Amino acid sequence: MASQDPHPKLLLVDDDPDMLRLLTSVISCAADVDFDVESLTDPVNARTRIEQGGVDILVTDLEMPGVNGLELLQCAKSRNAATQVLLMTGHSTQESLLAALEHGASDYLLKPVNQLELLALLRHTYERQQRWKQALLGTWRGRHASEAE
Amino acid sequence: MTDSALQSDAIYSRLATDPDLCELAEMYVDEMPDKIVALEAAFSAGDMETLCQKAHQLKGSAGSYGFDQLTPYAAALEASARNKQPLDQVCDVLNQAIALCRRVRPGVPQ
Repeated sequence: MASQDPHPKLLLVDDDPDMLRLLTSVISCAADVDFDVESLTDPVNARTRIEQGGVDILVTDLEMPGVNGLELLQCAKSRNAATQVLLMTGHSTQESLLAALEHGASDYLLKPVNQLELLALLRHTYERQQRWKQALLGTWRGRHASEAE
Repeated sequence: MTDSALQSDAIYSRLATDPDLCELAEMYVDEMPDKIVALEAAFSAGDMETLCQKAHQLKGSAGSYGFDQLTPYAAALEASARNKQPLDQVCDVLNQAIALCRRVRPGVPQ
């Protein structure tokens, strides 16, 4: 893969500060990609942050008061299709997981979170984000080249 | 859930031997009294929505921090509050969950 981000931006969203603290530590200590991690407990603030752009990977809880993870997923995808979204849920209901995948979630993680599973999914999600980014860049370059001719 | 799970043995985190995460597990134990107070306060106020939310968070965090034994009790409490079961039933489930929460300890078994 050419020109990978040195510090891809990862936004963590969970209304439980305990979960954010743990996930931030696990990712900072053990992830094999040097993510620039930002964490937010308020999903409303998270939506504002996503709308500002620059988020490469969003890891969000599904069930939160006010704005849920599915809404954040849709916001992230409409802002930038290359942003990859990993959803966490304590409820493994088929309906909510299917809805998340249908709206473009890369994958999901069941709570309680297993560290090794989280790290493996993050690696996979990062690689997917890089492929998306390269593909979109190729499309953009192709369009501009044809316009210049 | 078994009766043995409700006995009085201390509960230790499986992260306690992880050099990167053991301190976090200890912080989680330190803050457990605050979580218990929040659960009791929500129940005392009859606020089932908050009780459900707190139980939901406990269900997700306890196992993630390595206290797997708490997860089914937190899940039962969340379901009980969400389904607005009779108060005496919610109270029983709450007391079981809190009894488990009070047994968490930092470090490893001596």
